[in-house]
Amino acid sequence: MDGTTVDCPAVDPQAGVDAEPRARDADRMQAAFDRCARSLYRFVLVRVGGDSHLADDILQQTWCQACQHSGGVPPNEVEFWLRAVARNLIRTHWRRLGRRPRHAPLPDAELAAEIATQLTTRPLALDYLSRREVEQQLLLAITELDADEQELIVEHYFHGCSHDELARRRNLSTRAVEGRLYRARQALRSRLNHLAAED
Amino acid sequence: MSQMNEGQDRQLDENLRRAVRVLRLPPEATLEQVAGWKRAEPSHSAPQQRMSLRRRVRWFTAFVTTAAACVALYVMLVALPGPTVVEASTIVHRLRQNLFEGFQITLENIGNEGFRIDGRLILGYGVPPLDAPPGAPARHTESLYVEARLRANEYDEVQPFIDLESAAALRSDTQWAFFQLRGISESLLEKYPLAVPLVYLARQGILVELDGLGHLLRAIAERLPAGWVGPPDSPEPPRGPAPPIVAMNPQADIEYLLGSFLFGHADATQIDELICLMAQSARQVKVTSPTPGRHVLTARDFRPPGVAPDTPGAARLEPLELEIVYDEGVGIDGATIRNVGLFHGTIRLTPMSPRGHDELFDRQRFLRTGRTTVLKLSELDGLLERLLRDGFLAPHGE
Repeated sequence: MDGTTVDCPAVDPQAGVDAEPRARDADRMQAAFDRCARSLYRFVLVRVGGDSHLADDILQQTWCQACQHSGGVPPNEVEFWLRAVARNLIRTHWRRLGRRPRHAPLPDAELAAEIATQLTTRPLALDYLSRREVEQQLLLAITELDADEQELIVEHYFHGCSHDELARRRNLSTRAVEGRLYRARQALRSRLNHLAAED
Repeated sequence: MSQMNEGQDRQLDENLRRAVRVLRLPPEATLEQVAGWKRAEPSHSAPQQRMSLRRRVRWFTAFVTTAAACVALYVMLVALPGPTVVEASTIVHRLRQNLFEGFQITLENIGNEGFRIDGRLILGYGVPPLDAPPGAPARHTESLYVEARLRANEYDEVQPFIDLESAAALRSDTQWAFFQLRGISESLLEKYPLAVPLVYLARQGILVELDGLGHLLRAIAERLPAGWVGPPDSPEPPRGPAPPIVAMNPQADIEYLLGSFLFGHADATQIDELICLMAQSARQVKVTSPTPGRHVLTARDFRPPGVAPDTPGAARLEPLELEIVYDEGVGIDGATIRNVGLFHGTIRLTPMSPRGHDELFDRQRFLRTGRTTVLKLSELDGLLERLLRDGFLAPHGE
């Protein structure tokens, strides 16, 4: 993965010329990277078909890009920007390789929209949910979620944390956690409905 | 985005609870991994303010002085002949000593057009007890841990694709093997429709308790057609170190040794021999000292003596690069072979003792309630027998 060029989201290289704002930008980028490192890793690992070495490589380069452009990314878009960089790096890697391995999942907008409808309208059989393509679309959508929403979904559904436990961990009321989980589910359905082609 | 009503949300919640029983979430990033990503240096320095001429002159002076000091230190400590000069033979010799307790072999991106493997093997040696009979071997294999991910026909549009993850541990107190099918071609399932239930189990993960492994191997050998293995009553393969290799055909020797590496039955003697053989076969062997006290043996341009350049297989050896890092007062850091196979993979050999790494031998991490199938070896034996008898593994239409 050396020497790859990526088309990153536009940043202003001259932003933050003074030392103090630059240090502040770097700290902010570092904090954002730390906050969404886990969700970013899931995002990459799912898209490279579980190749952990490649995922490490991509995230290392994402970090390098983050260090270089910390000053030019608006604070409220850092997570979105990091995800876009990682996505571009994956795309560049497949291009350089000349082909994408078949086990690396691709979004299927039609199937994802169908899954979104099915999930909210009727109980789904395990046979349907365990189909490889269904599993891939679900994982693509879950890992598209913002770090906070993704962590909530993962902790609640995959790790079995109760509402009370989630509330205690986040120093929130149980009702607030229920509200956030509702929004996370809504976001997941929306992601499935709008799973854009990545390649 | 349209809001979901309460009924839709409840249905989604229920379906998500069901989905996580079959969804395989990728493993979490560890803190070490995150720290590893952040150790990377950006390829271009961040845009900086332009320095004034006066500051640039000061920086230039400081840089030149530091560089001159480094050159002087290098000449004093390394380049001048004397006891600090480390030769290639010393480094290889120290590696042998460091492998005494055990070692780890890491495989990264090893493969050819048909398969690709990533994984590691950790072998631990035990020393004989004080009351061991005379003539007992100086050390014996105490524990073995293997984990690997094998992808077959990854880039092949015609041959069936298989992605298999496996791990196995053998130690006196625990013996198990775990398999999980990460991916398989639909065409293969269409060809073997009766194997679909087995594939379903394999996708969820199968853990086999390996008590009585020898019995199963013998049972399988008895059932296989002649020619697959030796006669049913053939004795167990001889234990102990492999016979020394006589350098009659160095290329075959290297292939044999690499094969032993890949299939997990190389012992420490063979590993030593592989390294020595590689060092002898390389046309460029040099020792550099990037920092005082650290010496790096690098061997390149491999062509075993007596092998013509146009010999089949010679081209595969040429790009290999062997590197052994030796720190004075610390010992060997490890040996690395790069540019192996089609994917320019890496084989890394590191001295390591499995003692103190009990988490590797703990099978609990693979057990997921309601998903992982746990089989005793006798049950697996029965299952295989049924599958063979009932023609489950026969292609569609036969």
